[in-house]
Amino acid sequence: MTVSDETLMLYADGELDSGARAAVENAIAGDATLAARVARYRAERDRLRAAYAPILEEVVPARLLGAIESAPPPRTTTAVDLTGRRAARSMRQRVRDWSWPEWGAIAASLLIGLLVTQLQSSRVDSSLVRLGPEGMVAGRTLETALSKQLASAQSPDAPIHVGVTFENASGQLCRTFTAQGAPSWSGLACFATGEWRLGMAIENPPGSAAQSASNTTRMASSEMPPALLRAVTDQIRGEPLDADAERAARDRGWRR
Amino acid sequence: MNEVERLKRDIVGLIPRLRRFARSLTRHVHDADDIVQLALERALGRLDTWQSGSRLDSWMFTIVRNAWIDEVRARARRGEVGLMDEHADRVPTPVSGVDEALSIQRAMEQLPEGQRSAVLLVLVEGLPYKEAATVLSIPIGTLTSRLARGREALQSVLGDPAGAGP
Repeated sequence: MTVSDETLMLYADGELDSGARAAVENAIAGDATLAARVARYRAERDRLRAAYAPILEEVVPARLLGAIESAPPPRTTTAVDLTGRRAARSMRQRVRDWSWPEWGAIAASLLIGLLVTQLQSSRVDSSLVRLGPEGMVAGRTLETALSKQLASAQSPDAPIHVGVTFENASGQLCRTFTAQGAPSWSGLACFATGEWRLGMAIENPPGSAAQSASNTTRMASSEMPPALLRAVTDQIRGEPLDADAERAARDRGWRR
Repeated sequence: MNEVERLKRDIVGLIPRLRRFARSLTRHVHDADDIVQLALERALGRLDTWQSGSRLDSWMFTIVRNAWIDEVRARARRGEVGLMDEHADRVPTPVSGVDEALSIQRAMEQLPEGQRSAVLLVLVEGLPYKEAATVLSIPIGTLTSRLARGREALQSVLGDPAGAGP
Protein backbone atom coordinates (compact mmCIF):
# COMPACT_ATOMS: atom_id res chain seq x y z
CA MET A 1 0.00 0.00 0.00
CA THR A 2 1.23 3.46 -0.86
CA VAL A 3 0.82 6.04 1.85
CA SER A 4 1.30 9.70 1.03
CA ASP A 5 3.49 11.95 3.15
CA GLU A 6 0.46 13.97 4.05
CA THR A 7 -1.40 10.93 5.33
CA LEU A 8 1.60 9.92 7.38
CA MET A 9 1.79 13.40 8.83
CA LEU A 10 -1.90 13.37 9.70
CA TYR A 11 -1.40 9.98 11.29
CA ALA A 12 1.60 11.15 13.32
CA ASP A 13 -0.38 14.16 14.51
CA GLY A 14 -3.39 12.08 15.52
CA GLU A 15 -5.64 13.71 12.91
CA LEU A 16 -6.97 10.59 11.17
CA ASP A 17 -10.30 8.99 11.96
CA SER A 18 -10.26 5.45 13.24
CA GLY A 19 -10.76 3.79 9.82
CA ALA A 20 -7.93 5.65 8.13
CA ARG A 21 -5.77 5.20 11.21
CA ALA A 22 -6.18 1.44 11.11
CA ALA A 23 -5.24 1.38 7.42
CA VAL A 24 -2.05 3.34 8.09
CA GLU A 25 -1.19 1.11 11.03
CA ASN A 26 -1.53 -1.92 8.82
CA ALA A 27 0.71 -0.40 6.19
CA ILE A 28 3.31 0.60 8.79
CA ALA A 29 3.37 -2.88 10.28
CA GLY A 30 4.61 -4.25 6.97
CA ASP A 31 6.96 -1.44 6.01
CA ALA A 32 9.85 -0.27 8.14
CA THR A 33 10.41 2.75 5.89
CA LEU A 34 6.92 4.03 6.62
CA ALA A 35 7.44 3.46 10.33
CA ALA A 36 10.68 5.44 10.17
CA ARG A 37 8.95 8.34 8.42
CA VAL A 38 6.29 8.48 11.12
CA ALA A 39 9.04 8.38 13.75
CA ARG A 40 10.66 11.33 12.00
CA TYR A 41 7.51 13.43 12.25
CA ARG A 42 7.18 12.61 15.90
CA ALA A 43 10.82 13.27 16.65
CA GLU A 44 10.51 16.63 14.95
CA ARG A 45 7.50 17.49 17.08
CA ASP A 46 9.32 16.46 20.27
CA ARG A 47 12.34 18.57 19.40
CA LEU A 48 10.16 21.60 18.67
CA ARG A 49 8.31 21.19 21.96
CA ALA A 50 11.53 20.89 23.89
CA ALA A 51 12.97 23.95 22.15
CA TYR A 52 9.99 26.12 23.06
CA ALA A 53 9.31 24.73 26.53
CA PRO A 54 11.68 27.08 28.40
CA ILE A 55 9.63 30.14 27.38
CA LEU A 56 6.80 28.88 29.59
CA GLU A 57 9.12 28.97 32.59
CA GLU A 58 9.99 32.62 32.26
CA VAL A 59 8.74 35.15 34.75
CA VAL A 60 5.65 36.88 33.42
CA PRO A 61 6.18 40.65 33.32
CA ALA A 62 4.03 42.49 35.83
CA ARG A 63 2.57 44.75 33.18
CA LEU A 64 0.84 41.78 31.57
CA LEU A 65 -0.87 40.85 34.82
CA GLY A 66 -1.63 44.52 35.26
CA ALA A 67 -3.37 44.56 31.88
CA ILE A 68 -5.87 42.08 33.25
CA GLU A 69 -6.27 43.71 36.61
CA SER A 70 -6.79 47.20 35.26
CA ALA A 71 -9.59 46.11 32.94
CA PRO A 72 -12.88 47.79 33.84
CA PRO A 73 -14.57 45.76 36.57
CA PRO A 74 -17.77 44.04 35.48
CA ARG A 75 -20.70 45.51 37.43
CA THR A 76 -19.51 44.69 40.91
CA THR A 77 -20.53 46.43 44.08
CA THR A 78 -17.92 46.58 46.77
CA ALA A 79 -19.11 46.69 50.30
CA VAL A 80 -18.16 49.95 51.93
CA ASP A 81 -16.62 49.44 55.31
CA LEU A 82 -15.54 52.70 56.87
CA THR A 83 -13.48 51.10 59.59
CA GLY A 84 -11.59 49.13 56.99
CA ARG A 85 -11.16 52.22 54.85
CA ARG A 86 -9.76 54.20 57.77
CA ALA A 87 -7.35 51.44 58.66
CA ALA A 88 -6.30 51.22 55.05
CA ARG A 89 -5.70 54.93 54.88
CA SER A 90 -3.61 54.96 58.00
CA MET A 91 -1.69 51.98 56.75
CA ARG A 92 -1.06 53.66 53.43
CA GLN A 93 0.28 56.70 55.19
CA ARG A 94 2.49 54.59 57.34
CA VAL A 95 4.07 52.98 54.35
CA ARG A 96 3.76 55.87 51.97
CA ASP A 97 7.39 55.68 51.06
CA TRP A 98 7.39 52.03 50.23
CA SER A 99 7.51 51.93 46.52
CA TRP A 100 7.89 49.40 43.82
CA PRO A 101 6.99 50.92 40.51
CA GLU A 102 7.26 47.68 38.57
CA TRP A 103 4.17 46.28 40.20
CA GLY A 104 0.84 47.84 39.62
CA ALA A 105 -2.07 47.01 41.80
CA ILE A 106 -2.67 43.41 40.93
CA ALA A 107 -5.30 41.22 42.48
CA ALA A 108 -3.89 38.66 44.85
CA SER A 109 -6.05 35.92 43.35
CA LEU A 110 -4.49 36.39 39.92
CA LEU A 111 -0.99 36.22 41.34
CA ILE A 112 -1.83 33.14 43.33
CA GLY A 113 -3.08 31.52 40.13
CA LEU A 114 0.20 32.21 38.44
CA LEU A 115 2.18 30.98 41.44
CA VAL A 116 0.32 27.70 41.41
CA THR A 117 1.24 27.31 37.73
CA GLN A 118 4.85 27.99 38.58
CA LEU A 119 4.80 25.64 41.57
CA GLN A 120 3.60 22.91 39.27
CA SER A 121 6.53 23.52 36.99
CA SER A 122 8.89 23.36 40.00
CA ARG A 123 10.09 26.90 39.65
CA VAL A 124 9.50 27.61 43.29
CA ASP A 125 11.67 26.31 46.09
CA SER A 126 9.52 23.91 48.10
CA SER A 127 11.25 24.89 51.33
CA LEU A 128 9.59 28.26 50.84
CA VAL A 129 6.20 27.36 49.53
CA ARG A 130 4.39 24.11 49.14
CA LEU A 131 0.97 23.16 47.96
CA GLY A 132 -1.16 21.84 50.79
CA PRO A 133 -4.62 20.29 50.53
CA GLU A 134 -6.25 23.67 51.10
CA GLY A 135 -3.93 25.85 49.09
CA MET A 136 -0.44 27.15 49.53
CA VAL A 137 1.33 26.96 52.84
CA ALA A 138 4.78 27.99 53.99
CA GLY A 139 7.50 25.39 53.47
CA ARG A 140 10.00 24.54 56.19
CA THR A 141 12.37 27.49 55.84
CA LEU A 142 9.66 30.09 55.50
CA GLU A 143 7.68 28.56 58.35
CA THR A 144 10.66 28.81 60.69
CA ALA A 145 11.24 32.44 59.82
CA LEU A 146 7.58 33.40 60.16
CA SER A 147 7.23 31.58 63.48
CA LYS A 148 10.46 32.74 65.11
CA GLN A 149 11.76 35.92 63.55
CA LEU A 150 10.86 39.34 64.95
CA ALA A 151 10.81 42.22 62.50
CA SER A 152 12.21 44.39 65.26
CA ALA A 153 15.21 42.13 65.80
CA GLN A 154 16.29 40.44 62.62
CA SER A 155 19.62 40.32 60.91
CA PRO A 156 19.86 42.28 57.67
CA ASP A 157 21.48 39.17 56.21
CA ALA A 158 18.58 36.90 57.08
CA PRO A 159 17.47 34.94 54.01
CA ILE A 160 13.89 35.78 54.85
CA HIS A 161 12.88 39.20 55.96
CA VAL A 162 9.70 39.60 57.95
CA GLY A 163 7.82 42.84 57.36
CA VAL A 164 4.55 43.83 58.99
CA THR A 165 2.59 41.73 61.47
CA PHE A 166 -1.13 42.37 61.81
CA GLU A 167 -4.44 40.81 62.70
CA ASN A 168 -6.87 40.16 59.86
CA ALA A 169 -10.65 40.36 59.87
CA SER A 170 -10.93 36.68 60.83
CA GLY A 171 -8.77 37.30 63.90
CA GLN A 172 -5.75 35.47 62.50
CA LEU A 173 -2.26 36.86 62.79
CA CYS A 174 -0.67 37.58 59.46
CA ARG A 175 2.84 38.59 58.46
CA THR A 176 4.40 39.89 55.28
CA PHE A 177 7.78 38.62 54.18
CA THR A 178 10.42 38.82 51.52
CA ALA A 179 12.52 35.78 50.72
CA GLN A 180 15.89 36.71 49.28
CA GLY A 181 17.29 34.73 46.42
CA ALA A 182 17.07 34.48 42.71
CA PRO A 183 14.26 35.05 42.15
CA SER A 184 13.21 36.71 45.37
CA TRP A 185 9.68 36.53 46.65
CA SER A 186 7.40 38.72 48.68
CA GLY A 187 4.20 37.56 50.23
CA LEU A 188 1.67 37.46 52.97
CA ALA A 189 0.91 34.51 55.24
CA CYS A 190 -1.68 34.07 57.98
CA PHE A 191 -1.44 31.56 60.82
CA ALA A 192 -4.32 29.10 60.93
CA THR A 193 -4.67 25.57 62.29
CA GLY A 194 -1.00 25.25 63.00
CA GLU A 195 0.41 26.41 59.69
CA TRP A 196 1.20 29.57 57.80
CA ARG A 197 -1.19 29.84 54.88
CA LEU A 198 -0.14 32.01 52.02
CA GLY A 199 -2.71 34.60 51.09
CA MET A 200 -0.41 35.95 48.47
CA ALA A 201 3.07 35.56 47.08
CA ILE A 202 4.70 37.35 44.22
CA GLU A 203 7.93 36.84 42.48
CA ASN A 204 9.96 40.01 42.28
CA PRO A 205 10.34 40.76 38.59
CA PRO A 206 13.82 40.86 37.13
CA GLY A 207 14.91 44.46 36.88
CA SER A 208 12.98 45.48 39.98
CA ALA A 209 14.77 46.94 42.96
CA ALA A 210 14.94 43.51 44.50
CA GLN A 211 16.64 41.84 41.59
CA SER A 212 18.65 44.54 39.93
CA ALA A 213 22.37 44.85 39.56
CA SER A 214 23.83 42.15 41.76
CA ASN A 215 23.11 39.66 44.44
CA THR A 216 24.62 41.98 46.98
CA THR A 217 21.90 44.53 46.36
CA ARG A 218 19.32 43.59 48.90
CA MET A 219 15.89 44.97 49.00
CA ALA A 220 15.35 47.22 51.97
CA SER A 221 13.01 45.50 54.37
CA SER A 222 10.64 48.43 54.29
CA GLU A 223 9.96 48.08 50.58
CA MET A 224 6.71 46.42 49.75
CA PRO A 225 5.14 45.87 46.35
CA PRO A 226 1.92 47.89 45.97
CA ALA A 227 0.00 44.70 45.27
CA LEU A 228 1.10 43.31 48.61
CA LEU A 229 0.43 46.57 50.35
CA ARG A 230 -3.04 46.54 48.95
CA ALA A 231 -3.63 43.01 50.18
CA VAL A 232 -2.53 44.11 53.65
CA THR A 233 -4.74 47.17 53.69
CA ASP A 234 -7.66 45.07 52.49
CA GLN A 235 -7.26 42.54 55.25
CA ILE A 236 -5.94 44.41 58.25
CA ARG A 237 -8.10 44.99 61.30
CA GLY A 238 -6.85 47.86 63.40
CA GLU A 239 -3.20 48.78 63.41
CA PRO A 240 -0.13 46.68 62.66
CA LEU A 241 1.46 45.13 65.74
CA ASP A 242 4.26 47.11 67.31
CA ALA A 243 7.46 45.45 68.50
CA ASP A 244 6.09 44.52 71.94
CA ALA A 245 2.84 43.12 70.55
CA GLU A 246 4.78 41.21 67.90
CA ARG A 247 6.98 39.59 70.56
CA ALA A 248 3.96 38.75 72.71
CA ALA A 249 2.18 37.20 69.72
CA ARG A 250 5.20 35.06 68.95
CA ASP A 251 5.45 33.91 72.55
CA ARG A 252 1.78 32.87 72.41
CA GLY A 253 2.54 30.78 69.33
CA TRP A 254 0.70 33.16 66.99
CA ARG A 255 -2.66 32.28 68.51
CA ARG A 256 -5.03 34.95 69.68
CA MET B 1 -15.88 33.25 42.04
CA ASN B 2 -18.13 34.58 39.29
CA GLU B 3 -17.86 33.70 35.62
CA VAL B 4 -15.87 36.79 34.69
CA GLU B 5 -13.37 36.30 37.49
CA ARG B 6 -12.92 32.66 36.51
CA LEU B 7 -12.34 33.66 32.91
CA LYS B 8 -9.77 36.24 33.96
CA ARG B 9 -7.97 33.70 36.06
CA ASP B 10 -7.93 31.23 33.17
CA ILE B 11 -6.56 33.92 30.88
CA VAL B 12 -3.78 34.66 33.37
CA GLY B 13 -2.91 30.98 33.26
CA LEU B 14 -2.59 31.23 29.48
CA ILE B 15 -0.17 34.17 29.52
CA PRO B 16 2.99 32.06 29.29
CA ARG B 17 1.63 30.29 26.19
CA LEU B 18 0.47 33.57 24.65
CA ARG B 19 3.96 35.00 25.14
CA ARG B 20 5.42 31.97 23.44
CA PHE B 21 3.11 32.27 20.45
CA ALA B 22 3.70 36.02 20.24
CA ARG B 23 7.43 35.54 20.34
CA SER B 24 7.22 33.13 17.43
CA LEU B 25 5.03 35.60 15.55
CA THR B 26 7.10 38.71 16.16
CA ARG B 27 10.53 37.09 16.55
CA HIS B 28 11.25 39.74 19.13
CA VAL B 29 10.94 39.50 22.91
CA HIS B 30 9.70 43.02 23.61
CA ASP B 31 7.44 43.21 20.59
CA ALA B 32 5.96 39.93 21.75
CA ASP B 33 5.10 41.23 25.20
CA ASP B 34 3.68 44.43 23.73
CA ILE B 35 1.43 42.35 21.52
CA VAL B 36 0.37 40.12 24.39
CA GLN B 37 -0.44 43.16 26.50
CA LEU B 38 -2.52 44.62 23.70
CA ALA B 39 -4.27 41.30 23.19
CA LEU B 40 -5.03 40.98 26.91
CA GLU B 41 -6.53 44.45 26.96
CA ARG B 42 -8.63 43.69 23.91
CA ALA B 43 -9.77 40.35 25.28
CA LEU B 44 -10.75 41.85 28.61
CA GLY B 45 -12.74 44.49 26.79
CA ARG B 46 -14.82 41.88 25.01
CA LEU B 47 -15.09 38.97 27.38
CA ASP B 48 -18.79 38.92 26.56
CA THR B 49 -18.01 37.78 23.00
CA TRP B 50 -16.27 34.64 24.19
CA GLN B 51 -18.55 31.65 23.72
CA SER B 52 -18.46 29.39 26.72
CA GLY B 53 -17.74 25.86 25.63
CA SER B 54 -15.29 26.97 22.96
CA ARG B 55 -11.57 26.84 23.56
CA LEU B 56 -10.26 29.82 25.44
CA ASP B 57 -6.71 29.24 24.23
CA SER B 58 -7.75 29.35 20.56
CA TRP B 59 -9.74 32.50 21.21
CA MET B 60 -6.76 34.18 22.86
CA PHE B 61 -4.32 33.00 20.17
CA THR B 62 -6.59 34.54 17.56
CA ILE B 63 -6.66 37.86 19.38
CA VAL B 64 -2.86 37.81 19.74
CA ARG B 65 -2.39 37.15 16.05
CA ASN B 66 -4.86 39.83 15.00
CA ALA B 67 -3.10 42.30 17.26
CA TRP B 68 0.16 41.48 15.53
CA ILE B 69 -1.36 41.78 12.05
CA ASP B 70 -2.67 45.23 13.01
CA GLU B 71 0.76 46.20 14.28
CA VAL B 72 2.50 45.04 11.12
CA ARG B 73 0.04 47.04 9.00
CA ALA B 74 0.52 50.11 11.16
CA ARG B 75 4.27 49.83 10.81
CA ALA B 76 3.97 49.46 7.07
CA ARG B 77 1.85 52.63 6.98
CA ARG B 78 4.50 54.44 9.02
CA GLY B 79 7.04 53.34 6.46
CA GLU B 80 8.89 50.91 8.71
CA VAL B 81 9.60 48.32 6.09
CA GLY B 82 11.13 44.93 6.29
CA LEU B 83 10.03 44.22 9.84
CA MET B 84 8.51 40.92 8.91
CA ASP B 85 11.79 39.80 7.43
CA GLU B 86 14.36 41.28 9.72
CA HIS B 87 15.87 37.92 10.49
CA ALA B 88 15.34 36.41 7.08
CA ASP B 89 18.99 36.53 6.18
CA ARG B 90 20.20 35.04 9.41
CA VAL B 91 22.51 32.13 8.79
CA PRO B 92 21.43 28.95 10.53
CA THR B 93 23.88 27.75 13.12
CA PRO B 94 24.83 24.09 13.36
CA VAL B 95 22.62 22.11 15.67
CA SER B 96 24.36 20.62 18.63
CA GLY B 97 24.00 20.11 22.35
CA VAL B 98 22.90 23.14 24.34
CA ASP B 99 22.35 25.18 21.18
CA GLU B 100 19.62 22.83 20.03
CA ALA B 101 16.76 24.97 21.32
CA LEU B 102 18.21 28.16 19.91
CA SER B 103 18.94 26.57 16.54
CA ILE B 104 15.41 25.27 16.27
CA GLN B 105 13.97 28.66 17.13
CA ARG B 106 16.24 30.26 14.53
CA ALA B 107 15.18 27.75 11.92
CA MET B 108 11.57 28.54 12.75
CA GLU B 109 12.23 32.26 12.38
CA GLN B 110 13.22 31.69 8.79
CA LEU B 111 9.87 30.21 7.86
CA PRO B 112 7.17 32.45 6.42
CA GLU B 113 4.79 33.56 9.16
CA GLY B 114 1.93 31.36 7.95
CA GLN B 115 4.02 28.21 8.11
CA ARG B 116 5.70 29.20 11.33
CA SER B 117 2.40 29.82 13.10
CA ALA B 118 0.94 26.57 11.78
CA VAL B 119 3.92 24.63 13.09
CA LEU B 120 3.88 26.40 16.43
CA LEU B 121 0.18 26.03 17.07
CA VAL B 122 -0.05 22.38 16.05
CA LEU B 123 3.29 20.92 17.08
CA VAL B 124 4.27 23.08 20.04
CA GLU B 125 0.88 24.11 21.41
CA GLY B 126 -0.78 20.84 20.47
CA LEU B 127 -3.87 22.40 18.90
CA PRO B 128 -5.93 20.13 16.64
CA TYR B 129 -5.68 21.13 12.95
CA LYS B 130 -9.22 22.44 13.04
CA GLU B 131 -8.49 24.80 15.94
CA ALA B 132 -5.22 25.98 14.42
CA ALA B 133 -6.98 26.69 11.11
CA THR B 134 -9.58 28.77 12.94
CA VAL B 135 -6.91 30.78 14.75
CA LEU B 136 -5.18 31.51 11.44
CA SER B 137 -8.49 32.08 9.59
CA ILE B 138 -7.65 29.59 6.86
CA PRO B 139 -9.29 26.41 5.57
CA ILE B 140 -8.03 23.20 7.12
CA GLY B 141 -6.52 22.12 3.77
CA THR B 142 -4.38 25.24 3.69
CA LEU B 143 -3.31 24.60 7.27
CA THR B 144 -2.29 21.06 6.36
CA SER B 145 -0.19 22.12 3.40
CA ARG B 146 1.48 24.94 5.36
CA LEU B 147 2.29 22.50 8.08
CA ALA B 148 3.75 20.01 5.60
CA ARG B 149 5.88 22.69 3.91
CA GLY B 150 7.02 24.14 7.22
CA ARG B 151 8.06 20.77 8.55
CA GLU B 152 9.92 19.91 5.39
CA ALA B 153 11.86 23.17 5.55
CA LEU B 154 12.69 22.63 9.21
CA GLN B 155 13.84 19.11 8.53
CA SER B 156 16.18 20.30 5.80
CA VAL B 157 17.71 22.96 8.03
CA LEU B 158 17.94 20.92 11.18
CA GLY B 159 18.49 17.46 9.81
CA ASP B 160 17.91 14.51 12.07
CA PRO B 161 19.07 14.43 15.64
CA ALA B 162 21.39 11.57 16.41
CA GLY B 163 19.54 8.34 16.88
CA ALA B 164 16.20 9.51 15.51
CA GLY B 165 16.25 7.33 12.45
CA PRO B 166 17.36 7.88 8.84
